[in-house]
Amino acid sequence: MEQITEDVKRIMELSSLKGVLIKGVISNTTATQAGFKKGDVLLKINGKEVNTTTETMKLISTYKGGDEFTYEIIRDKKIIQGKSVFKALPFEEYTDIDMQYTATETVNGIQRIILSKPKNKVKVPAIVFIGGIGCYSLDTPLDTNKSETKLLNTLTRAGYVCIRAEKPGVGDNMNCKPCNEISFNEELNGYVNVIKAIKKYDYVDSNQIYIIGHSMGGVMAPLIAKQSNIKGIIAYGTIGSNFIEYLAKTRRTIGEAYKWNPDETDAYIKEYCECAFYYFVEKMTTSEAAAKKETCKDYLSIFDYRSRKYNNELYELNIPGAWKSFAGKALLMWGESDYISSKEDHQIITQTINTYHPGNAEFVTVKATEHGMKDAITFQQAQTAPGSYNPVVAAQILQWLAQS
Amino acid sequence: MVGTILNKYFMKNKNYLHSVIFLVLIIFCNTQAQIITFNKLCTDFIKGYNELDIPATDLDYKVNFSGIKSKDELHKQETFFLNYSKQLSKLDIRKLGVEEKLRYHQINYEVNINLERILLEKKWNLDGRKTPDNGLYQLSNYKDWYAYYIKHFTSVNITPEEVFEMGESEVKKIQTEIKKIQTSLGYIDEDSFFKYLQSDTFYLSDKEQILNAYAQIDQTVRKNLYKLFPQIDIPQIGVMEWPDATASTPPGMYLDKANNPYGKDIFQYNFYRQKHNTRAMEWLYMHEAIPGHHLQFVMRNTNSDSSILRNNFFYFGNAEGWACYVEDYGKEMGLYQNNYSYLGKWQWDLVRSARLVMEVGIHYYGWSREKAMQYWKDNIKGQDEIADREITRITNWAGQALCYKAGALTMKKIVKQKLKQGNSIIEAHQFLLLHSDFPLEVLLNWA
Repeated sequence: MEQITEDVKRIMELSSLKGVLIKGVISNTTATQAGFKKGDVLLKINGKEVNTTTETMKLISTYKGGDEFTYEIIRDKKIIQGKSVFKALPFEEYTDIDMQYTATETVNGIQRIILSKPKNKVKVPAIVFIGGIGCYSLDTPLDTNKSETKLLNTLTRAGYVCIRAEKPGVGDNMNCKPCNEISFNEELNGYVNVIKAIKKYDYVDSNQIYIIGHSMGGVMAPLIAKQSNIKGIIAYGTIGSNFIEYLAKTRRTIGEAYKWNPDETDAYIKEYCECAFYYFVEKMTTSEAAAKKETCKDYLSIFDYRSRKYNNELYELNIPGAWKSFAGKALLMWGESDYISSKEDHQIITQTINTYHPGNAEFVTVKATEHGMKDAITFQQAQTAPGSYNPVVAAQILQWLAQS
Repeated sequence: MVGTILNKYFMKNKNYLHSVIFLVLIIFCNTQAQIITFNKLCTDFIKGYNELDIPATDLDYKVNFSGIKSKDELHKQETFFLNYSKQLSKLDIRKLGVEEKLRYHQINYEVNINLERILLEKKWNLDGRKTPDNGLYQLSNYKDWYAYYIKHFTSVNITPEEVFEMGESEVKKIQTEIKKIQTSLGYIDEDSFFKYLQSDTFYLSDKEQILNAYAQIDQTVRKNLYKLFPQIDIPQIGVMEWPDATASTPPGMYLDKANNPYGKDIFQYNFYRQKHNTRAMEWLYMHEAIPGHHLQFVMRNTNSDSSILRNNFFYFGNAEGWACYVEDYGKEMGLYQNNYSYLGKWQWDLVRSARLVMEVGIHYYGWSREKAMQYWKDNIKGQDEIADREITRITNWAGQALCYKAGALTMKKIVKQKLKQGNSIIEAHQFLLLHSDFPLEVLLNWA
């Protein structure tokens, strides 16, 4: 989908900027079923106007497969109204990988588990992928070029069963609270339940379970390991210090990514820390903090994507302390163009583990790679135009797995 | 008149005539049989090729490595291409028509380049599937890999050494051209000249002005087009800003009607940070629109060739080579009338030529990023802001940046050949435009 700009309006001879342009239609989806075509302008769904792509996606995500809907589109300068049914997302399919879509009951409701399994293998080690802080789904069959999918498919082809543990409250999960209402510990306990369930699968070697914790998933990983028997953890682009320190450190790299002058970055860090103090220490809401300092509204709005409880629990954590008790092997990975996490945090975790469990942790950097595991030579490029998924991430993980 | 003379001749030689007809019929039937066999071979080849599910080439070599198939799959592919290599060698191509002959050589080209790829991929699997992260040079057999990538993207049989040499020589030539313009504009000092070129004078930030300027360029080009290019109705092209442009967005892009949602053929220009370089406008329009990609697409659709191979393969060297080749005809098209727009053409040509040197440097001679950056600084003045982007591009997209210059220079050779054969420049261009879905190597050697 694409926004209707003045250019699009002029070229397509539209009468207003209303709606979103359908850039293309993927087969076997709700759009094809409804008969949408490339070049249609979607104006309304169930009577509600859609004028931005974010707005449209947000609205669509509130419906489930099987729900009926009405729509209004412009095709060839004429308004067309119609009715259709939302279609559930298709399953991913590969010739050399067995995909299995299953689910388990967790503390949060019924959580979706997506498994990619090597063909014709009887019992294999398993890798559970835990995603970052955002409320996003790992079920993206219409875009299999996502880093997570590419990474896990490579690991599957190398002989591991890979498990995408869906975040509660997104995708196909049932009877769950919305993701943005769930707390940090509730989400974490959901993953513990998922791991317990997959250990029962006959093709999973329950003594060889690994976790890949991406970003916030890396914070959760050692805490999950406390309640499950985990052989090893791979943490990519994660946090290794208290949350306030992490925020301060990474505001500096954000400044570099946006090419701010050092004095501008310094002022930004100072203001940001002040806002973070209001929010995390004094437990103010975003609006209360904004009343104290106007810029806090912008700086803190990102935290409103998760619940107050989630953020409170995150703030209370002693992250190195969580790693202290992890006796398994750990690989800490940091992309050299990742301005969202700090290299130092990965070194802190490595040092913590090796202090209490000598030789168990290894720290590696991935050249020219950003937070989302995509190609980027510099912080600036990571911010403006990262490339595609860097397969070196999988190669480095496989190398470590072979030695661990 | 011609018919009467022939009739008299045949009446006198009736017996002879019968045998001639018989002979002609045998030859005709034999030729028809060959064409039928060849058409069937083409159909089976495409069907089998599609069934192999060979991943489409990504611009990023690392993505291509991650998609390399297993040993068994590669064996299946190898058997398929070896079988066609055998079948093609058995065909008597003398009995094929001109177009069929070109298609024959196209399949042969595909068979050979795929066998070359399979050999490399088999070895890569044996070596433990290790993907180099900073260029092909890190592979033990980097010379073979890079030679393959050059061939794949340019569709020209050219060695890395030749590309490097071509790049160096083009860089020198273009630097001389730029120097000439600098002098003619009265600038003795290079630094102050390039500083002036960075000034706001050369940037438009009003979209209305940009659209008007492009409309003017379009009008001028259309008025002069048929002096050098075939007469054909060329639909209007929609001009718009490249949506969501970033610092890495190239100067412009062409999207034909079938590949965009706007309902017409589109030319998008870079309006990153709300400004557009006026020096780039003329060459850019020629490259992306007319007589570049837009004319190429329009002309391709007029081709009556019914071969099943038609538009089944895409050759970067042919598509980008053409668009780059036509930029040289700006003056004939009524453009480059002022020194600055002509300078704009050379400035971008310099980037393209330097890419040849730096790319071979990185993938073939093991240059570090720093060395490539130094080469940029030593040879390209006043374009530092895109250096990082360009070096990243050539590091990740092995071979792709070569298709512009290598393609354009090969097109020049083909045109020269066609002129030698007695064709006019318009006919030579028509030939290239009608054969935009062929590897350039085939057109160069067999047309």
